[in-house]
Amino acid sequence: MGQFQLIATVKQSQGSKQPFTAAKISPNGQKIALCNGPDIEIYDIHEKTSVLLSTLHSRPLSDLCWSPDSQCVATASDDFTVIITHVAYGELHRLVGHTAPVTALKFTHKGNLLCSCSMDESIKIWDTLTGSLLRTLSAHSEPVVSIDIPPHDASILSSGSYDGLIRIFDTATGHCLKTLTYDKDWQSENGVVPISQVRFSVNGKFLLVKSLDGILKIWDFVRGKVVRTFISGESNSLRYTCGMDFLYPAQEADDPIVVSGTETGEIVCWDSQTKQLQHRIKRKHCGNPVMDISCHGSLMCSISLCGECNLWTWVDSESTA
Amino acid sequence: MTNLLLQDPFTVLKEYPERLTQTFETPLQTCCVEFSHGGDYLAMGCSNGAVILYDMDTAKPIAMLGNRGGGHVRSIQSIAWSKDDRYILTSSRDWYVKLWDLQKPGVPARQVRFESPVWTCQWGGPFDLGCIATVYEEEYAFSINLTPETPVVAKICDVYEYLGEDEKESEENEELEQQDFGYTLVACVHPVWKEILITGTSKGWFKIYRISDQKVQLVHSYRFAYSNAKHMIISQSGDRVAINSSDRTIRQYSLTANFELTEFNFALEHRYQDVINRLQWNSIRFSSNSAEYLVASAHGSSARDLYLWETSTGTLVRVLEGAEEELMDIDWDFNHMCITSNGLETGNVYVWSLVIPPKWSALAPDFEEVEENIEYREKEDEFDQVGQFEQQQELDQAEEVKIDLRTREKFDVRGNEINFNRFVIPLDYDSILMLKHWDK
Amino acid sequence: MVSLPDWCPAYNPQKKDAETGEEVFCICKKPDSGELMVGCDGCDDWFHFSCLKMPTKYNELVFSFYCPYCQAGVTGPGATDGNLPKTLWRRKCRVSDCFKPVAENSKYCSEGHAISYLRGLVDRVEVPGHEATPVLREMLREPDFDHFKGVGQNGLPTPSEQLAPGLFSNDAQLQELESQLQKVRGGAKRRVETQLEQLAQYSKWVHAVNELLFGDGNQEHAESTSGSRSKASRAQKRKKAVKKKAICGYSASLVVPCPAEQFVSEFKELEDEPTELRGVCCKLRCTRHLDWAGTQENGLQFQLESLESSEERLQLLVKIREDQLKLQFYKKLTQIDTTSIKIPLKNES
Repeated sequence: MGQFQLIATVKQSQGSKQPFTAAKISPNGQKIALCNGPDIEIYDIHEKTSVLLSTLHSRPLSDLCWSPDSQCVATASDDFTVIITHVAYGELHRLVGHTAPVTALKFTHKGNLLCSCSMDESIKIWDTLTGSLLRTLSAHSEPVVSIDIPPHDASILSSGSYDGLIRIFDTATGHCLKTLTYDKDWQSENGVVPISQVRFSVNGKFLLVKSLDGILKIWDFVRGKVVRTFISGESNSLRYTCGMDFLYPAQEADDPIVVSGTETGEIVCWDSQTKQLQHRIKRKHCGNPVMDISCHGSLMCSISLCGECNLWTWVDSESTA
Repeated sequence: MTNLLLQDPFTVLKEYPERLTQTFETPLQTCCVEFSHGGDYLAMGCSNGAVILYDMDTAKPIAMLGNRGGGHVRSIQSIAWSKDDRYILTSSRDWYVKLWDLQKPGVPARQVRFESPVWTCQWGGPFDLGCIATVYEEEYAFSINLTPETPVVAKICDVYEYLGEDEKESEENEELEQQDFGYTLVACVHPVWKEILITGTSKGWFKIYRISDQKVQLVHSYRFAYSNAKHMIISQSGDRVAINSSDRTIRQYSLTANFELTEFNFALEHRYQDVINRLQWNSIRFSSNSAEYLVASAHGSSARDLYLWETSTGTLVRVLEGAEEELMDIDWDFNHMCITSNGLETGNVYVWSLVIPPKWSALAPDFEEVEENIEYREKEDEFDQVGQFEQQQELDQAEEVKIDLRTREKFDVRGNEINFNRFVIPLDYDSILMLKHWDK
Repeated sequence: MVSLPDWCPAYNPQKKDAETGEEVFCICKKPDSGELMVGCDGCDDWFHFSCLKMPTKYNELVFSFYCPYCQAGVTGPGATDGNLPKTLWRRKCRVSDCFKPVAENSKYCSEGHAISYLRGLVDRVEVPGHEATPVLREMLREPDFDHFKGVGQNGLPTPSEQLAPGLFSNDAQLQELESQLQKVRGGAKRRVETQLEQLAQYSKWVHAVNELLFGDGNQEHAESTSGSRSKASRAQKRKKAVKKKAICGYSASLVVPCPAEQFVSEFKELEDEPTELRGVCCKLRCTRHLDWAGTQENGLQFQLESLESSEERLQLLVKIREDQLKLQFYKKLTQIDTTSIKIPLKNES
């Protein structure tokens, strides 16, 4: 057993100004980037200070993603575009091509490709160096809201859509390689359950999937089987796609933790192996949907819709005792 | 390379590429090509000394070695990637061997100047960061220690070979001294026995050296022909050697040694010749692991294809067509199963790969693609009522099997090592900014 | 062909009400009721502002009006010559709720409005913890009008050291770029230039030696190539020209060992033609060192070019980084959570 301890409040609640949708810890573990309207706020974890990076987006952001070298942040905006901003030099590229708000982003581990998905039901793959569109994958029939790429293997990418499908694509050709469906095993009364987020395990062999009924599943996607199910006990049809992530405790022997935010402002953590509930954080984000969860090492960053952003660290109960 | 697990296994496991899929029309005349070990990048050496690195994901150039000063200024002779793909060795007709750290590809990390053009440069030798070079009109290969800021160069020759004429006569080394081996043209470090270096000379000799940091020992020599050695390759497993010489023949040997690595034996397996046109061969490559295939490009304006033989039988199994000109250097990327070669006239670079057709049934998992119509027959248990309780039990059982979210796969389905992180060339932000602000 | 707007009925030539005999106007074909109307410059008919969906407050802004029929070419000049006229407007005063046209050479209807507009603009500037006016003055500290007009054209103005202490000097990234730039500008370029000179001098010496050794044969070649433009090609051509009879002349050090005359006499003293003398390769047909001078010259020149482009690149990066820092500084000034920082202003003292 273990639990999260609060180490810093990155940002206080901003009242009802504008929705805050994403906060991500940088790959080098030194900074946190969060969406602040159309701009990016960069918080330095050690200095506890923040800088605002302005973008030329005309509408608020839905998601952002650090480049693997922690030098750039890509932003997905409701103005249909993606902008790649260098933390020191400002804008590098503006990627124009989607025909509806862009919902999520992901760099490959090499940083040479950026994948974006949109309410226009497509996924686009961009060349980071030139800013040109390489290919468009259109294989969903509802907004695509989440994409992920395994941490060391850019040969595949996974997408989750409101059409209830989880698809795996070949990055190089854009061909669909596999489709994991929910309605086969989870017969909901109104048909499919929209998918809200997909996340690969660090070895790229499993896929954690969250759907809008608040249920999380780990898929063995090669075999097409669900191997774990986690139920947080939320209502059946949620409004917000609340965040989730895997957390890998420092001890190799410890099983990874599944961390998930809820619409009621709770953060729930399970042991990925035993499915045992480890911790349920209720005292922060009170009543505000937890929009994003981002883990790095034993750090976890959570942000709620009102802008409250907290930084936590995972502590093994043995070491605290 | 998880995509391979999800694709048609029969196509994935094909052992050589089949179709020309890509042509890089580079502005500079390419004269040698080399894939990084991971297959992520393709380095092209050009006749004006430029070395351009292409990203195979985007098919665009991402770096040019020495563009901040210190690039080669004459034709590139060889390119070699380090095992982790972070460093590149280049040799050129401008007399230089240069080491590049791709963390900073703009300037060479180390460089050595010889007194004449350098033929080849390959990783290996007695040093942690070292290489073996062969140089124009030099009797011996050189070993270079690249660790110090100013690299240290040493001739690779046995102490007996150093002796003066008189001493040779008086000593018991007569048999050695008798031979005039000619200039050393090619050199390969053995992939398994790291202290063994095999060289090929202008008079058709193989010479096997055993190198330690204390001494160099010539342990074996063997005459394969009475002509120049042009290329020498050793299979990944180390038991197969092929040598391309100017007598229009590629000779393939099986190489064996005793346990102490003091005795070696070359057994000729096959001779590959173009019996009709009597063409010379430009370049040769083995396939991965135990080298089940050998691919070669032919010299002369009438030749436009790559020839691929099965090494166990020596039969020609495939001709890779599509390039409309004579092909020069060859490289084989085992991770993505593609072969590349550069054209002599245009300097274009061609890539042959496997073409895996889209699997439409992947879009709808309940459907199955069938070759022809199949008459429907109900299966025994197809409509059996499964109790909800049993079904749930089955699902629960599946959730009790241990899962490992951390450990990475060691090998891909083709047997290539994939469980370590290869070097990623950093994005050149300066060039993006330069382009963006060009018109301002 | 411009089509009529959806709300506009098809053209009706009727001028009088059939029943009352009253004169009717506009697209609505109703008599004048005192409502605000505008006369069409094309067909001389009158039109209600409301019928044309034009706010009446635009009254004074009309310059020349054409009704929908004239604009569509049904009536008026467009019907005959095909040049469809368009309604033209006067430019409106910049004060948002003023709909008077601007005065000549101005963006405002009157001086009063110009002042009130700019005052409004200044009032909108919020610098938490400060009075906005001195900060604005600080930004626009140039008193010169022409300079004032140019503000913003060359990127953001640089805040003074007082307003933003250490903005540039405390930035590690910028300092790193500056020091790289210094390195390029300083020694690096000069070093390469010196090497180039040394090479040229040595080549000259080799040439002189060859001249003395095989003088006559080479004279004409030297003349024939002296006209060529680039230095590099001349060096190459010379090599080609003297190829028939000349020593290679390569030496690893590129240091002139002794005067050419002395070298030649030493060379001639030796019985066999030597292959090397004083570290200089004396082979007559040396394939080994072929084109040594050209290769080395190209190498050095390439380095010089790279240094020049490096300088250009670093200058640009410095500018981009400075702009980014300025942008972040001004952005931060408008942020609420920076109120605790008290910025000293020179006007306060």
